[in-house]
Amino acid sequence: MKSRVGTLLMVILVFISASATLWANGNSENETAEEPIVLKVWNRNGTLMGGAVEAFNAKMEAEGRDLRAEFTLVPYEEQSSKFLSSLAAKTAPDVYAIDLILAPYFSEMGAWMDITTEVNNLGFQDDLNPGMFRIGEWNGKQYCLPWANDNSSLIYNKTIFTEMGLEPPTTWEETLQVAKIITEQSDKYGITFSGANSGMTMFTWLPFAWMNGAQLITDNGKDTTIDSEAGVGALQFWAELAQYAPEGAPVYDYGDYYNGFVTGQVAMIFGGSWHVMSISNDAPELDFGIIPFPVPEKGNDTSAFMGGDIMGITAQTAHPKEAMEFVAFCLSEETQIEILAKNGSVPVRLSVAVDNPYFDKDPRYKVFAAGGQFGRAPKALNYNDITTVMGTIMPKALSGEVSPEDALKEAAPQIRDLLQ
Amino acid sequence: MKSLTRAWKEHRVMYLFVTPSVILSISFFVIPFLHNLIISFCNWNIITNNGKFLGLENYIRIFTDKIFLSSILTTTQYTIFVVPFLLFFGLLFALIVNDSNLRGNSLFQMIYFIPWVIPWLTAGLIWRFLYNDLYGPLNYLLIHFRFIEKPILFLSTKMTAMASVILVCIWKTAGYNMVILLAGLKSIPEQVYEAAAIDGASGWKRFISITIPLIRSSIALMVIMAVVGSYLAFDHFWIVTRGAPSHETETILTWLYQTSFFRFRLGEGAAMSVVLLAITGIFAVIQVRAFNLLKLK
Repeated sequence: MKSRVGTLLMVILVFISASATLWANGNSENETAEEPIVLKVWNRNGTLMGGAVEAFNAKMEAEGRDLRAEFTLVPYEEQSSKFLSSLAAKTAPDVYAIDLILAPYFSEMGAWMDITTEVNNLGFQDDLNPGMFRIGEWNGKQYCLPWANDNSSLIYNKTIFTEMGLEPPTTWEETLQVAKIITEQSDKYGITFSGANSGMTMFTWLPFAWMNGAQLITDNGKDTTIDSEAGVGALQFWAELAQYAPEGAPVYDYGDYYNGFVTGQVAMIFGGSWHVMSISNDAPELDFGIIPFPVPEKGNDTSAFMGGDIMGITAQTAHPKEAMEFVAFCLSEETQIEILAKNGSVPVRLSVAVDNPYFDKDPRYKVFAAGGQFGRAPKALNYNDITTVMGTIMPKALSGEVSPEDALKEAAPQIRDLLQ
Repeated sequence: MKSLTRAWKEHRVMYLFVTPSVILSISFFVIPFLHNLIISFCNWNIITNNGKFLGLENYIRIFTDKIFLSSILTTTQYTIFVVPFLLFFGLLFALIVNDSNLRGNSLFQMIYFIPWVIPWLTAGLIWRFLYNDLYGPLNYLLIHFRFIEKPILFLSTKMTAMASVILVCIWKTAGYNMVILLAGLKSIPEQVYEAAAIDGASGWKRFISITIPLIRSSIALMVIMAVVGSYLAFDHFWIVTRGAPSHETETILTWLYQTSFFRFRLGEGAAMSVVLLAITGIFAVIQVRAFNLLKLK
């Protein structure tokens, strides 16, 4: 009898606590229904997107509107995993600005909302960086728009060059010469790499292949010419340069490569536009310059990897109109100048990408910004697979374990299989 | 059916208490595992939450993936080398701090245990900095005191990179293993040692004939956890080597993570996780049975 009463009491207790929890949750949901519309916005850069969200909210407040944005920082490494998980759980953000090389995969799987009509009504779509704009297109529809541009260039330590009486290089031969002189005649290294970081390696090496006439992915998207004489020549240049890098460079991750430069032990790195602000903050005493990537021979055109973030409205959004309003705000000239250019990122609006007050003050940014005019961005569903293949052979070529020709002969068939 | 009804009548309160744990286990392990198993046989679309059935295609692909096969070998090699060291250092530290007469006993316990509470990310970054050939303190000190002339490239070959990661793991987890083994040591009555000493047994004899047999359960627990944990190695490899050089130090989990979330091959990643579960499960069963057999002797 006693045990039956006890059991009954326990069941009643569990029922009451479960009901209380459900009631409280229901109440809190009712409370949020009266709050303003809140757009969830994700991005890997707190300064840029966080700043845009703040500015948007201030504008909405000033206009007396019940619309706000809420920013969530997504670490670079978790861009895909976090997004995939949210898509599966149906908790995806309203707006997500993602590394552009990842966007095609999510376009193909239906993660984004089709914004073709909205883009055509923007009024300034022709002013958007065309290379990045192209990445946001899939099967004739527009899913993503450019947000922030990052291009690759050569960064050099002016103090080391001045002390050694050297000029910044403009050709591959000159680069080899200055790297050799610095490494052999001082206690510094001429150059360093991030061999273990395949993304960074592609971001900085591919332009050399492009300017020499090779393509990782041909224009029809089905083949590669990376194992051509042009491609081998580009990797041969890097393999020769690697002689003047720290021996561990083929397995350096991003931190090793970056720290080597900011501690003044390496004279040159191939880097991106974000480096201007990060090096200025981390090593304010370091005097550094930016020049376009050196070319194979005088008279050749240089190249750059056009990276950065593109932004899309997720298909799961409950507020498509408001999300598009936020996106348009992010792409306004004012936001692009006062948030992006001010914080050292290249605007995606061509009209202000190179010429804006902040880049006029620090012309180093203009070199990176110019890369947005002639740079390229690879577009492939499985770009990361291709990067993985290249990430396997590049360290071997840089360390001299295999010749550049053998390395690319190993990689090319795998890349062709991936592109079929 | 009758026995179930009788069992429910006799133990219903107990069953009610256990029910929340069972519900949690089903919700957070069984259902996700079954979902993962389904994904491993499909080309899965995470948005529509369904996929085309591919049969064994994902499993065939992963067993023809050179990097996955290499990762199984690498993980096995890592386990074979790291577990004996973990046992050795864990037991050594436990024996040291078990001596309550030792001055600074508590300080030693704290020193050995502190690395365990440091997050793997922090530990990995610290050691990666220490190992660097350009600005790392290890090479600097070794060169400064003329032990070497050129920097050691700790992470440049598979062998040196594995050894470097093993060192990180030992540094970080020896204290945790010490705690497990110390619990076993503390359970041995002092009188057993006194009796052995009276009989003239040397210190080494007491260690082999008394200490080891009587802490068998603790050793078994530590080794089983170390083997399973080594097969699940991710953090230290991800931070210290990132699979370099050229994916030669990829573990099963680091490659699985990249396959699923970097290469977007969810089906293949799910298949790899099923294979990993099978490997760790088999090892766990073998070890438990082996240690049970030793106990019976």
